[in-house]
Order: sequence, then structure tokens, then C-alpha cells
Amino acid sequence: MNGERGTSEKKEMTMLQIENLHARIQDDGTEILKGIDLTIRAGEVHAIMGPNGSGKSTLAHVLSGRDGYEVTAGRVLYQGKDLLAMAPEIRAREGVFLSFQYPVEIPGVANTYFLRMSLNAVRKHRGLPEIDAMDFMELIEGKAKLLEMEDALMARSVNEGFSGGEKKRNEIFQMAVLDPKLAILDETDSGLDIDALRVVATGINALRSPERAMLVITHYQRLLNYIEPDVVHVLADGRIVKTGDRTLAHLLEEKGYGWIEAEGAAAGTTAAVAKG
Amino acid sequence: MTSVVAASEGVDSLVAAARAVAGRGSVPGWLEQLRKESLASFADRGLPASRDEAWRFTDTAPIARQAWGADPSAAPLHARPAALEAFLGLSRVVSASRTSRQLVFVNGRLDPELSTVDGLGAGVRFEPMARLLKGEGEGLRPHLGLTGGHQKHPFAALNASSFADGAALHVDAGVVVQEPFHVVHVADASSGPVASHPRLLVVLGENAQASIVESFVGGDDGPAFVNSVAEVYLGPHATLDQTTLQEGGAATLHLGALFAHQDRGSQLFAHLFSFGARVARSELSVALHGEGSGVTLDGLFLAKGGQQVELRTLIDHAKAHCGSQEYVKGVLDGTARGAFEGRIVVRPHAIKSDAHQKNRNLVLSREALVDTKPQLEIYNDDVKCTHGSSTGRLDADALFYLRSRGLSEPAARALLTSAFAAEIAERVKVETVREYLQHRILRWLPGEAA
Repeated sequence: MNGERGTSEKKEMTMLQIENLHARIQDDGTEILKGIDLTIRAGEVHAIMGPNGSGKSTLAHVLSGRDGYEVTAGRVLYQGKDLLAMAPEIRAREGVFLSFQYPVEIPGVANTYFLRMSLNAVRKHRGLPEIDAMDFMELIEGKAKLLEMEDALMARSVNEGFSGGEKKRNEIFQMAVLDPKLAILDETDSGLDIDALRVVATGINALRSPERAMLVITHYQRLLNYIEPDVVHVLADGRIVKTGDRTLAHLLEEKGYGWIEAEGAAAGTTAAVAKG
Repeated sequence: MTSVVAASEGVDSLVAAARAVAGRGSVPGWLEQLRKESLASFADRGLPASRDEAWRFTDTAPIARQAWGADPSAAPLHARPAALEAFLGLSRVVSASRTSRQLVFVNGRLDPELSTVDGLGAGVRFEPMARLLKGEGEGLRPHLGLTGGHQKHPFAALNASSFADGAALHVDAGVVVQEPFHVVHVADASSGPVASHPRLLVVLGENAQASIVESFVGGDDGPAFVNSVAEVYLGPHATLDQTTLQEGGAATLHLGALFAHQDRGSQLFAHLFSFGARVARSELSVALHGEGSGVTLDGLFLAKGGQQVELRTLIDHAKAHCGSQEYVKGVLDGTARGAFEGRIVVRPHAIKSDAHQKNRNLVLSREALVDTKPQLEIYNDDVKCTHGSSTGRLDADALFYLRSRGLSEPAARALLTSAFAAEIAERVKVETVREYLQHRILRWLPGEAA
């Protein structure tokens, strides 16, 4: 499966390696992730699909370092380093980007001002000089155009009063500017009309590259019509229960998640195959 | 007990200084009377006790514990470049505003070398009060003390009995002045503990328009007690934009009171910024005394370390069809204590009053505290009044969002805090002041903002 793909041509770098990841909600101890195994190599786009409550967002949150979760077993390696040991900002500076399902509104902080601070934090970490306001504006010009970010939107406070589509465009715009190695897109299609979806998907596709890996988390197959994944995983009850190529997404669209869940007992074996 | 003995020391020194002012040179009879009554009122009542409801959040004991000099005879500030830099460097507004309309007072006395008043058009007078007090003082008599603050307020009484000089701005009816006037009060305690009683008078005639910025700066040399009073009179349909910047030193005790009296159709835009001191209390008392008059009041107080900051406002809707919009924010860090008390009175005949008050406080540390007390006294039914107050911490989701984009936690906190405070700064109309405030807020923040 994904293992074969990775080694078939040249030896692509392993970007993300999740091994037997268990995580629970800190407050009430509810276990959400019950042993996730997943390997993503540079250049690959993986999709994780699953019904509500399967643990999709928890996986995104744990990978980005959000508070409120406790990892009880397993490990996550990012470019060979222990990702879970890093503070959220270090993950970002090391090249991990999370596109939020619900981007946060930040009144009083101008979009471009914030993004330049963010880019400079990343550049500093990589030993690069800070970028000044003029060079920054030049750098973002093309990327803003790609995501149809009008000047007015760039000057406004981060996400404040943005429509659902504008917020998601802003997420992908930030991703384009920060140039991450691993992008985790959490329900990027939720709340988007068809036009906004097209713009966002165009932006994401433009950012596909042999050096970058993407993990696309989605409930619906709709987004995957625009962003064709190399590998599709199905998450149910905190485990990856099925892994396949993009046709798996179409199958899910036709048959629904019930079909996978009905396979029940197959879950454990599939996950084991994916790991191997 | 020693504290009792020490307590009288402070009051005694203040009373003695006031007597010395009264005995110095010739003063118009009406002012002599005002000073005498005010001093008697202050001496009788003494310092307000902490059980006094109006003084619950401001501890005046440090004023009592210290013997205060009236005006330590240091060399004038302009002759001491290092001190000048230290004080005026505190405020880029001051250096940027080396304009033709600037009066600088050091410990309540005019520094003529640092002050310039040129090119005032017809119908505009901007001058030190000491000059107006010569002879019968007719230039001040119609308005000085008219708001009656000295009868109600112990420290306004002390100010009335003690002020040696001050700034007076008169703009005649129909005259519109665009360029802002600047008044700077420096508290210089480099030669010993010092008390000063800054005074400002602004009188705008019918349809007149003006803008004034009053700054208080103090160094960290030693204890300074600043007891300031401003009086504002707006004639019919006059418009004043008034900004007060208070930046005290580590041992500064600042008490400031502004009393405004508004005639029909007049508009006051008041902006108050308090960057803290050991103790800082700023009061604004606005009387909407003419139909259709209005006040927009924006306030921001920031306190950290062990500072104590209080902001009190009183808006008196005395006539019908008046409006007030109040927006006050507070930011508290360290072990600081902050308080906002906003009182709105709508009198029985003040129908169609429109009064809105909003207060938001941000608490950055576990130990910091803020008290907020909105007080609405509405005596008729035909009014529109709203008020709301909230106190909270930095939004955890917003902090995580910023960190997930590479900002360190201190940088993310600083960015969110400055954004919270900047909302009030952005409402300032004088551009140089607005820009200065943006830098000043960043400088106030803990940690690096990058």
C-alpha cells in the first residue's frame, strides 16, 4: 500500500510517521484515538475520511499540539523527530501547518501584520534574516492572487467578520506564505459553497510538491474531487479501518460509512497491513 | 502610633505649601477668597479615609506619609539636558509636538524655555494662568472654579488652594482651530519629594472648535504627588477633542480630575490614557447642561507590578436630548489593582437621553485584580440606556491559533494584549498622539512582541 508506493521509485523522505497513537480527552478521560498507524512520505497527499466522532479532528489537534488531549501510548515522528515533544510554535517553525476547521477571529490584529510576524518567526528558526514590510508585500502578492484575497481582506483583522469561504481561503493563503513541509487540512471543505471550494482547492493543488506532504481530513468525498489523494484512509472509532487508493473515496460516497463499519472485524487486520 | 504622626506630616506640608502660595505676592480678591475657602475645606476634612466609598479603590495613605516640598529649587529643566531627555524622552508626543502651541510646566511652574506659543489667530488665547492673574485676573474670573469641583472634591479643593500656575485656553465664538494645543506637566522629584497642582482651563465659545492634549510625565527619581484639575466649558454647539495622557514614575502618586460643563448642542470627545503610577486615579465628571449636548468618552488604563489605577466617570444628563457614549478598557498584570467606576445620572426632566457605557477588562496574571462598578441612576422613563461590563483573560483559542503559526507564547500574548488596548488608542483623533500610543502600548507589554 503506501509503503510500496514510497519505495517503488526513489527513496522519498518519511515526513510523518504515526505509530500506535492512543489519545484521550484530558478532562473526562474519554479515549478517542485507539491506535493509529500512518506513514506519509514527502510528495504524498493522504486523505483521512470518517464519520462524525471517528476521531478525525482529535488527530489534527494532537498533531498540532492543542491543549486538552493526553497521549497515552504510541509516538509521532516528524522528519524523524519526536513531534509530540515540541511546543505548538516549534512544530509550526519546523514546518508543520494546520489549516483550522474553525479559524479563529482575532480582532485588532491586521492579517498581513500577523502573517509577517509569523513568517519571521519561521524564518528566524531556520536561520534566515527577517523579511521587511516591502519585501513581504512583494512575496505575498502572487499568493494572494492565487487565493483571490482582495487587498481589503488582507488589511482587515485576522478572520474578523470573514465569511466561511474567506476564512478558509485565508488559511490556505497563510499556508502558501509559510511554505510548510507538512500540511494538515482539517475539514477545509466544511462551510464552503462550490465557488469557494474551487478557489481553495486550486490553492491547495498549487502547493502540491515533491518536497511537501499533505494530510487532508474530511467527512465528505466532495473535496477529493478537486484534490486527488494518493492514499485514502478510513477512520472509525479511533482506528484506521481501511486504506486504499482514491477509488476508496468514491466507494464511500456511494455506499456510505455504514458499509465500512459493517466490515467490523476486518478493522484490526487492515490497520496492521497499513502499518507494515 | 507612628502612622498617625506620619499621616499629619503629609497633610501639614501640603497645607503649609498652600499658605505659602496664598502669601506670595498680590492675588485678585476673588481668587484669594476661593483659595481661602478651598484650603479651609481641605484642612477641615483631611484626606479621605479608605472606608469612604468614593475612595475605596485608591489608597491615599502614601500621600499622608510623606512630607512634600512645593518646588525643590533644582536648576530649570531646560538647563539640564540629561533630565530633559529623561522626562521628555518619556513621551514622544512631547518631542514630536515641538509646535508653536506648547506649554510645559515642571512641578506646576512654567518652563518658558520649553514653551512656545506663536501664530495664534484672532480669537484664540493660549497662555499661562500666572500671567492672567495679574491685576484683577479678569481673564480667568468668569470660569475658574465655576464647575465647583473644589466644593465637592477634597483634592480639587487642595488644588484650588495651591496651584501656582496652569494653562488656559480660550477660543472665541465661531473660531475653529485645527492644530492641537499641548500642555505637558513634568513631575521632577530629582531634588526631593515634590507635590504639584497642575491646572487647566478650557473655554470654548459658541460654535468654536479646538483640540487639546494634556500629558503628565514623571520620572523614577523619587516620590512625586501630582494633584491635577482641569475645567472645561463648552459654549453652545462648541466641539472639543480632549486627550489626557498619564504616565507616572514608580513612586508617583497621581490624582487627576476633569470637570466639564456643556452648553446646548456642544460635543466633547474625551480620551483618557493611564499607564499607571504607584497610585493613579483619574476622574472625569461631565455635566450635560444644555439640550442636545453629547460626550464621547474613551478610556484605557494599564497597570502592572504593584500599581494601583482607578478610573472614575460621572456623566450627568441634566437636560433633555443629550447623549453619552462611554467605552473604557483596563489591562492588569502582575499584582496590580485596577478599578473602574462609571456613574450615569439621568435627571427627571432629561427625557430622550441616550446613554451607553461599555467596560472590558483584561487580566493577564493570577494576582491582578480589577473592580468594576457601573452605576446608573435614571429618574425618568423616556430614555435609552445600556451598560455592559466584562472581565476576562486572553482567549485560549486565539493564543493557540497564533502559536500554531509560529509565534512564541509571550509574543502571542503580547500581540493579543496590544490589540485589545489598541482599540481605544485608535479612536484618538490627533494623529501624532495616536501613533505615539501604539508605540507606548507595545512598550508597556511584558515580553518581546516578535
